[in-house]
Amino acid sequence: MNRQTDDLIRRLARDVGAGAARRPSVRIRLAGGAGACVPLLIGLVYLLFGWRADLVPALSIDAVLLKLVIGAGLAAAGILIACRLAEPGRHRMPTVGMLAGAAMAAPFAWLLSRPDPAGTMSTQAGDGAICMAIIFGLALLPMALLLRLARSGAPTRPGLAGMAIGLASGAMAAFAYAFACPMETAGFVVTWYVAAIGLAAALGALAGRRMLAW
Amino acid sequence: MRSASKGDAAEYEWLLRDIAAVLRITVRRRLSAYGLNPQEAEDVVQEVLLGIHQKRATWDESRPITPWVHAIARYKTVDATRRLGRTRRLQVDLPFEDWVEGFADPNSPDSTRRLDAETLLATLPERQRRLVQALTVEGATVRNVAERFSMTEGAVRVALHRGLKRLSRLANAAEDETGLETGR
Repeated sequence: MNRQTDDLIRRLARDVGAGAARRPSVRIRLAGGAGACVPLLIGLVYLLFGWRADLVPALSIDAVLLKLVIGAGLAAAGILIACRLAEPGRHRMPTVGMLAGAAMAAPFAWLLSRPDPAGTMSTQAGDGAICMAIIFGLALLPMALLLRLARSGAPTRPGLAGMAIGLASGAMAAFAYAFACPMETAGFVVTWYVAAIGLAAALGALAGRRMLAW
Repeated sequence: MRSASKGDAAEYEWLLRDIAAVLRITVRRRLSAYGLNPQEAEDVVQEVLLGIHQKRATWDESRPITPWVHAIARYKTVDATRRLGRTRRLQVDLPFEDWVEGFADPNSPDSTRRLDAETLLATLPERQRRLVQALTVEGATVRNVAERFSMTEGAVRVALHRGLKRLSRLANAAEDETGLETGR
Protein backbone atom coordinates (compact mmCIF):
# COMPACT_ATOMS: atom_id res chain seq x y z
CA MET A 1 0.00 0.00 0.00
CA ASN A 2 1.39 3.29 -1.13
CA ARG A 3 1.84 5.84 1.68
CA GLN A 4 0.47 8.81 -0.22
CA THR A 5 -2.61 6.89 -1.28
CA ASP A 6 -3.06 5.74 2.27
CA ASP A 7 -3.01 9.32 3.49
CA LEU A 8 -5.48 10.33 0.84
CA ILE A 9 -7.90 7.57 1.82
CA ARG A 10 -7.70 8.55 5.46
CA ARG A 11 -8.37 12.18 4.63
CA LEU A 12 -11.33 11.30 2.45
CA ALA A 13 -12.75 9.04 5.14
CA ARG A 14 -12.49 11.81 7.72
CA ASP A 15 -14.28 14.08 5.30
CA VAL A 16 -17.22 11.72 4.99
CA GLY A 17 -17.47 11.57 8.75
CA ALA A 18 -18.66 15.13 8.63
CA GLY A 19 -21.83 13.72 7.05
CA ALA A 20 -22.69 16.08 4.23
CA ALA A 21 -26.40 16.55 3.78
CA ARG A 22 -27.51 14.82 0.60
CA ARG A 23 -28.75 17.12 -2.08
CA PRO A 24 -31.50 16.01 -4.42
CA SER A 25 -30.11 13.63 -7.01
CA VAL A 26 -28.98 15.01 -10.34
CA ARG A 27 -31.83 13.19 -12.07
CA ILE A 28 -34.43 15.02 -10.02
CA ARG A 29 -32.67 18.32 -10.59
CA LEU A 30 -32.52 17.83 -14.35
CA ALA A 31 -36.13 16.75 -14.65
CA GLY A 32 -37.26 19.56 -12.37
CA GLY A 33 -35.21 22.14 -14.25
CA ALA A 34 -36.61 21.02 -17.56
CA GLY A 35 -40.13 21.02 -16.19
CA ALA A 36 -39.70 24.58 -14.98
CA CYS A 37 -38.26 25.70 -18.31
CA VAL A 38 -41.26 24.77 -20.45
CA PRO A 39 -43.81 27.23 -18.99
CA LEU A 40 -41.08 29.86 -18.76
CA LEU A 41 -40.27 29.48 -22.45
CA ILE A 42 -43.93 29.57 -23.46
CA GLY A 43 -44.34 32.74 -21.42
CA LEU A 44 -41.25 34.24 -22.98
CA VAL A 45 -42.55 33.47 -26.48
CA TYR A 46 -45.81 35.19 -25.54
CA LEU A 47 -43.95 38.29 -24.37
CA LEU A 48 -41.63 38.45 -27.37
CA PHE A 49 -43.86 37.42 -30.25
CA GLY A 50 -47.37 36.93 -28.90
CA TRP A 51 -49.17 33.66 -29.55
CA ARG A 52 -50.77 33.17 -32.90
CA ALA A 53 -54.31 34.53 -32.90
CA ASP A 54 -55.85 31.31 -34.14
CA LEU A 55 -54.08 29.12 -31.60
CA VAL A 56 -56.99 26.86 -30.76
CA PRO A 57 -58.24 26.16 -34.28
CA ALA A 58 -54.64 25.87 -35.45
CA LEU A 59 -54.21 22.84 -33.22
CA SER A 60 -56.19 20.83 -35.71
CA ILE A 61 -53.65 21.55 -38.45
CA ASP A 62 -51.35 18.58 -38.89
CA ALA A 63 -48.14 20.58 -39.22
CA VAL A 64 -48.83 22.57 -36.07
CA LEU A 65 -49.56 19.42 -34.12
CA LEU A 66 -46.41 17.95 -35.55
CA LYS A 67 -44.34 20.79 -34.10
CA LEU A 68 -45.76 20.18 -30.67
CA VAL A 69 -45.32 16.43 -30.91
CA ILE A 70 -41.74 16.71 -32.10
CA GLY A 71 -40.95 19.29 -29.46
CA ALA A 72 -42.46 17.36 -26.58
CA GLY A 73 -41.15 14.00 -27.77
CA LEU A 74 -37.58 15.05 -28.36
CA ALA A 75 -37.51 17.08 -25.16
CA ALA A 76 -38.62 14.06 -23.16
CA ALA A 77 -36.15 11.81 -24.95
CA GLY A 78 -33.29 14.26 -24.40
CA ILE A 79 -34.01 14.65 -20.71
CA LEU A 80 -34.33 10.91 -20.18
CA ILE A 81 -31.01 10.32 -21.89
CA ALA A 82 -29.34 13.15 -19.99
CA CYS A 83 -30.59 11.76 -16.67
CA ARG A 84 -29.09 8.41 -17.52
CA LEU A 85 -25.79 9.82 -18.64
CA ALA A 86 -25.45 12.10 -15.63
CA GLU A 87 -24.76 9.18 -13.32
CA PRO A 88 -21.85 6.80 -13.79
CA GLY A 89 -22.53 3.20 -14.65
CA ARG A 90 -25.83 3.69 -16.44
CA HIS A 91 -24.37 4.26 -19.86
CA ARG A 92 -26.96 2.59 -21.99
CA MET A 93 -29.39 4.94 -23.60
CA PRO A 94 -32.78 4.33 -22.06
CA THR A 95 -35.04 2.31 -24.29
CA VAL A 96 -37.87 4.76 -23.75
CA GLY A 97 -35.76 7.64 -25.05
CA MET A 98 -34.66 5.72 -28.10
CA LEU A 99 -38.24 4.62 -28.84
CA ALA A 100 -39.48 8.19 -28.51
CA GLY A 101 -36.83 9.27 -30.99
CA ALA A 102 -37.74 6.52 -33.42
CA ALA A 103 -41.45 7.27 -33.06
CA MET A 104 -40.75 10.78 -34.35
CA ALA A 105 -40.17 9.32 -37.77
CA ALA A 106 -43.74 8.03 -38.15
CA PRO A 107 -45.65 11.34 -38.27
CA PHE A 108 -42.94 12.77 -40.51
CA ALA A 109 -43.33 10.04 -43.06
CA TRP A 110 -47.08 10.32 -42.94
CA LEU A 111 -47.16 14.09 -43.36
CA LEU A 112 -44.49 14.25 -46.01
CA SER A 113 -46.32 11.69 -48.10
CA ARG A 114 -49.30 14.06 -48.37
CA PRO A 115 -49.31 17.04 -50.68
CA ASP A 116 -48.65 20.35 -48.97
CA PRO A 117 -51.93 22.25 -48.71
CA ALA A 118 -50.39 25.70 -48.75
CA GLY A 119 -47.17 27.36 -49.79
CA THR A 120 -43.92 25.87 -50.99
CA MET A 121 -40.53 25.60 -49.43
CA SER A 122 -38.97 28.22 -51.65
CA THR A 123 -41.32 31.03 -50.63
CA GLN A 124 -40.69 30.29 -46.99
CA ALA A 125 -36.97 29.79 -46.98
CA GLY A 126 -36.19 33.22 -45.57
CA ASP A 127 -38.79 32.95 -42.85
CA GLY A 128 -37.50 29.50 -42.06
CA ALA A 129 -34.01 30.73 -41.33
CA ILE A 130 -35.43 33.32 -38.94
CA CYS A 131 -37.58 30.67 -37.28
CA MET A 132 -34.53 28.50 -36.82
CA ALA A 133 -32.53 31.36 -35.36
CA ILE A 134 -35.30 32.20 -32.89
CA ILE A 135 -35.66 28.61 -31.73
CA PHE A 136 -31.91 28.30 -31.38
CA GLY A 137 -31.76 31.53 -29.37
CA LEU A 138 -34.59 30.41 -27.10
CA ALA A 139 -32.82 27.09 -26.57
CA LEU A 140 -29.80 28.80 -25.06
CA LEU A 141 -31.69 29.59 -21.87
CA PRO A 142 -32.72 26.07 -20.83
CA MET A 143 -29.39 24.78 -22.10
CA ALA A 144 -27.43 27.03 -19.78
CA LEU A 145 -29.61 26.07 -16.83
CA LEU A 146 -29.59 22.34 -17.50
CA LEU A 147 -25.83 22.24 -18.08
CA ARG A 148 -25.34 23.93 -14.74
CA LEU A 149 -27.60 21.44 -13.04
CA ALA A 150 -25.85 18.54 -14.75
CA ARG A 151 -22.54 19.59 -13.24
CA SER A 152 -23.66 18.15 -9.95
CA GLY A 153 -23.80 14.81 -11.70
CA ALA A 154 -20.86 12.81 -12.95
CA PRO A 155 -21.29 12.16 -16.66
CA THR A 156 -18.63 9.76 -17.85
CA ARG A 157 -19.41 10.83 -21.40
CA PRO A 158 -19.62 14.60 -21.07
CA GLY A 159 -20.01 15.30 -24.77
CA LEU A 160 -22.90 12.91 -25.17
CA ALA A 161 -24.60 14.18 -22.02
CA GLY A 162 -24.22 17.73 -23.29
CA MET A 163 -25.72 16.70 -26.59
CA ALA A 164 -28.75 15.18 -24.87
CA ILE A 165 -29.22 18.41 -22.93
CA GLY A 166 -28.88 20.46 -26.12
CA LEU A 167 -31.40 18.21 -27.83
CA ALA A 168 -33.88 18.62 -24.99
CA SER A 169 -33.32 22.39 -24.89
CA GLY A 170 -33.80 22.80 -28.62
CA ALA A 171 -36.91 20.65 -28.53
CA MET A 172 -38.38 22.62 -25.63
CA ALA A 173 -37.72 25.88 -27.46
CA ALA A 174 -39.36 24.47 -30.60
CA PHE A 175 -42.37 23.39 -28.56
CA ALA A 176 -42.72 26.86 -27.06
CA TYR A 177 -42.20 28.68 -30.33
CA ALA A 178 -44.88 26.58 -32.01
CA PHE A 179 -47.37 28.71 -30.05
CA ALA A 180 -46.29 31.74 -32.08
CA CYS A 181 -44.98 30.39 -35.37
CA PRO A 182 -47.48 30.83 -38.22
CA MET A 183 -45.90 28.32 -40.60
CA GLU A 184 -47.97 25.26 -41.24
CA THR A 185 -46.48 23.00 -43.85
CA ALA A 186 -44.87 19.73 -42.91
CA GLY A 187 -41.85 20.30 -45.09
CA PHE A 188 -41.18 23.54 -43.30
CA VAL A 189 -41.35 21.95 -39.89
CA VAL A 190 -39.14 19.08 -40.89
CA THR A 191 -36.49 21.35 -42.32
CA TRP A 192 -36.23 24.28 -39.99
CA TYR A 193 -37.41 22.90 -36.69
CA VAL A 194 -35.23 19.87 -36.96
CA ALA A 195 -32.31 22.01 -38.08
CA ALA A 196 -32.73 24.29 -35.06
CA ILE A 197 -32.94 21.36 -32.67
CA GLY A 198 -29.93 19.77 -34.33
CA LEU A 199 -27.92 22.96 -33.95
CA ALA A 200 -28.85 23.17 -30.29
CA ALA A 201 -27.78 19.55 -29.81
CA ALA A 202 -24.44 20.24 -31.51
CA LEU A 203 -23.79 23.25 -29.33
CA GLY A 204 -24.77 21.21 -26.28
CA ALA A 205 -22.25 18.56 -27.23
CA LEU A 206 -19.47 21.13 -27.52
CA ALA A 207 -20.43 22.83 -24.28
CA GLY A 208 -20.79 19.51 -22.51
CA ARG A 209 -17.26 18.45 -23.34
CA ARG A 210 -15.98 21.56 -21.63
CA MET A 211 -18.47 22.14 -18.85
CA LEU A 212 -19.33 18.61 -17.82
CA ALA A 213 -15.87 17.09 -17.68
CA TRP A 214 -14.72 16.48 -14.10
CA MET B 1 -20.82 2.94 0.73
CA ARG B 2 -24.24 2.81 2.25
CA SER B 3 -22.74 3.27 5.69
CA ALA B 4 -20.49 5.98 4.28
CA SER B 5 -23.47 8.03 3.26
CA LYS B 6 -24.62 7.74 6.85
CA GLY B 7 -21.25 9.05 7.91
CA ASP B 8 -19.44 5.85 8.95
CA ALA B 9 -15.84 6.86 8.27
CA ALA B 10 -14.28 3.52 9.16
CA GLU B 11 -16.47 1.53 6.78
CA TYR B 12 -15.82 4.05 4.06
CA GLU B 13 -12.09 3.81 4.60
CA TRP B 14 -12.27 0.04 4.18
CA LEU B 15 -14.21 0.44 0.98
CA LEU B 16 -11.72 2.91 -0.50
CA ARG B 17 -8.85 0.63 0.47
CA ASP B 18 -10.47 -2.32 -1.28
CA ILE B 19 -11.12 -0.26 -4.37
CA ALA B 20 -7.55 1.10 -4.36
CA ALA B 21 -6.09 -2.41 -4.14
CA VAL B 22 -8.04 -3.62 -7.16
CA LEU B 23 -7.44 -0.44 -9.10
CA ARG B 24 -3.70 -0.54 -8.58
CA ILE B 25 -3.52 -3.82 -10.46
CA THR B 26 -5.89 -2.98 -13.28
CA VAL B 27 -4.54 0.51 -13.87
CA ARG B 28 -0.96 -0.70 -13.95
CA ARG B 29 -1.90 -3.33 -16.47
CA ARG B 30 -3.69 -0.78 -18.61
CA LEU B 31 -0.83 1.69 -18.56
CA SER B 32 1.69 -0.88 -19.65
CA ALA B 33 -0.69 -2.11 -22.33
CA TYR B 34 -0.59 1.40 -23.74
CA GLY B 35 3.18 1.56 -23.46
CA LEU B 36 3.06 4.07 -20.63
CA ASN B 37 5.05 4.03 -17.46
CA PRO B 38 3.22 1.78 -14.95
CA GLN B 39 4.76 3.84 -12.17
CA GLU B 40 2.20 6.51 -12.94
CA ALA B 41 -0.49 4.09 -11.79
CA GLU B 42 -0.53 5.37 -8.22
CA ASP B 43 -1.42 8.85 -9.43
CA VAL B 44 -4.29 7.49 -11.46
CA VAL B 45 -5.52 5.43 -8.52
CA GLN B 46 -5.60 8.59 -6.43
CA GLU B 47 -7.50 10.43 -9.15
CA VAL B 48 -10.13 7.70 -9.21
CA LEU B 49 -10.47 7.70 -5.42
CA LEU B 50 -10.92 11.46 -5.44
CA GLY B 51 -13.50 11.17 -8.20
CA ILE B 52 -15.43 8.55 -6.25
CA HIS B 53 -15.35 10.73 -3.19
CA GLN B 54 -16.41 13.93 -4.96
CA LYS B 55 -19.22 12.27 -6.86
CA ARG B 56 -20.42 9.87 -4.18
CA ALA B 57 -23.83 11.53 -4.19
CA THR B 58 -24.43 10.28 -7.72
CA TRP B 59 -24.57 6.67 -6.59
CA ASP B 60 -28.16 5.52 -6.35
CA GLU B 61 -28.36 3.37 -3.22
CA SER B 62 -30.90 1.07 -4.76
CA ARG B 63 -28.41 0.03 -7.43
CA PRO B 64 -25.34 -2.19 -7.22
CA ILE B 65 -22.17 -0.23 -6.58
CA THR B 66 -19.77 -2.12 -8.82
CA PRO B 67 -20.89 -0.68 -12.16
CA TRP B 68 -20.80 2.77 -10.65
CA VAL B 69 -17.24 2.41 -9.37
CA HIS B 70 -16.24 0.76 -12.59
CA ALA B 71 -17.60 3.62 -14.71
CA ILE B 72 -15.76 6.23 -12.66
CA ALA B 73 -12.53 4.25 -12.72
CA ARG B 74 -12.80 3.81 -16.45
CA TYR B 75 -13.51 7.48 -17.05
CA LYS B 76 -10.59 8.65 -14.93
CA THR B 77 -8.21 6.07 -16.33
CA VAL B 78 -9.04 6.88 -19.92
CA ASP B 79 -8.55 10.53 -19.07
CA ALA B 80 -5.16 9.89 -17.49
CA THR B 81 -4.05 7.59 -20.31
CA ARG B 82 -4.81 10.30 -22.80
CA ARG B 83 -2.99 12.92 -20.76
CA LEU B 84 0.05 10.75 -20.17
CA GLY B 85 0.15 9.80 -23.82
CA ARG B 86 0.20 13.46 -24.72
CA THR B 87 3.04 14.38 -22.36
CA ARG B 88 4.98 11.34 -23.35
CA ARG B 89 5.22 12.59 -26.89
CA LEU B 90 7.23 15.53 -25.57
CA GLN B 91 9.52 13.25 -23.66
CA VAL B 92 12.06 10.68 -24.58
CA ASP B 93 10.68 7.36 -25.69
CA LEU B 94 13.70 5.26 -24.79
CA PRO B 95 14.84 4.84 -21.22
CA PHE B 96 16.47 8.09 -20.42
CA GLU B 97 20.02 6.90 -19.73
CA ASP B 98 20.24 4.94 -22.99
CA TRP B 99 19.31 8.00 -24.88
CA VAL B 100 21.99 10.16 -23.37
CA GLU B 101 24.66 7.51 -23.78
CA GLY B 102 23.84 6.73 -27.35
CA PHE B 103 23.58 10.29 -28.40
CA ALA B 104 25.95 12.86 -27.07
CA ASP B 105 29.12 11.01 -26.28
CA PRO B 106 31.82 13.30 -27.64
CA ASN B 107 34.25 10.38 -27.98
CA SER B 108 31.84 8.30 -29.98
CA PRO B 109 33.75 5.99 -32.29
CA ASP B 110 31.12 6.54 -34.93
CA SER B 111 33.34 7.73 -37.77
CA THR B 112 30.68 9.24 -39.98
CA ARG B 113 29.85 11.80 -37.33
CA ARG B 114 33.11 13.36 -36.36
CA LEU B 115 31.49 16.48 -35.04
CA ASP B 116 32.77 18.59 -32.31
CA ALA B 117 30.21 18.30 -29.54
CA GLU B 118 31.57 21.32 -27.79
CA THR B 119 31.15 23.57 -30.82
CA LEU B 120 27.64 22.34 -31.36
CA LEU B 121 26.76 22.79 -27.72
CA ALA B 122 27.97 26.35 -27.85
CA THR B 123 25.28 27.18 -30.38
CA LEU B 124 22.49 26.38 -27.89
CA PRO B 125 20.94 29.11 -25.77
CA GLU B 126 22.78 29.60 -22.50
CA ARG B 127 20.38 27.90 -20.12
CA GLN B 128 19.67 24.99 -22.41
CA ARG B 129 23.37 24.52 -23.03
CA ARG B 130 24.20 24.37 -19.34
CA LEU B 131 21.40 21.91 -18.74
CA VAL B 132 22.39 19.57 -21.56
CA GLN B 133 26.02 19.82 -20.63
CA ALA B 134 25.35 18.98 -17.00
CA LEU B 135 23.36 15.90 -17.94
CA THR B 136 25.45 14.54 -20.78
CA VAL B 137 29.01 15.65 -20.34
CA GLU B 138 29.17 15.93 -16.58
CA GLY B 139 26.80 13.01 -16.09
CA ALA B 140 24.67 14.60 -13.40
CA THR B 141 21.37 12.98 -12.43
CA VAL B 142 18.05 14.46 -13.47
CA ARG B 143 17.11 15.13 -9.87
CA ASN B 144 20.37 16.89 -9.26
CA VAL B 145 19.95 19.12 -12.27
CA ALA B 146 16.31 19.78 -11.41
CA GLU B 147 17.40 21.11 -8.06
CA ARG B 148 20.21 23.16 -9.47
CA PHE B 149 17.97 24.82 -12.07
CA SER B 150 14.97 24.86 -9.72
CA MET B 151 12.81 23.02 -12.27
CA THR B 152 10.68 19.92 -11.92
CA GLU B 153 12.22 16.65 -13.07
CA GLY B 154 9.69 16.41 -15.85
CA ALA B 155 10.63 19.85 -17.09
CA VAL B 156 14.30 18.88 -17.08
CA ARG B 157 13.59 15.83 -19.20
CA VAL B 158 11.58 17.90 -21.64
CA ALA B 159 14.28 20.56 -21.82
CA LEU B 160 16.95 17.93 -22.41
CA HIS B 161 14.88 16.33 -25.11
CA ARG B 162 14.44 19.66 -26.86
CA GLY B 163 18.11 20.46 -26.53
CA LEU B 164 19.17 17.13 -27.97
CA LYS B 165 16.74 17.43 -30.81
CA ARG B 166 18.13 20.80 -31.64
CA LEU B 167 21.64 19.45 -31.51
CA SER B 168 20.79 16.59 -33.82
CA ARG B 169 19.27 19.03 -36.26
CA LEU B 170 22.41 21.11 -36.20
CA ALA B 171 24.55 18.02 -36.55
CA ASN B 172 22.62 16.84 -39.58
CA ALA B 173 22.86 20.25 -41.17
CA ALA B 174 26.61 20.28 -40.58
CA GLU B 175 26.90 16.84 -42.10
CA ASP B 176 24.99 17.87 -45.19
CA GLU B 177 27.41 20.68 -45.70
CA THR B 178 30.45 18.42 -45.47
CA GLY B 179 28.75 16.01 -47.82
CA LEU B 180 28.43 18.75 -50.39
CA GLU B 181 32.05 19.73 -50.01
CA THR B 182 33.40 16.23 -50.61
CA GLY B 183 31.08 15.80 -53.55
CA ARG B 184 32.57 18.76 -55.28
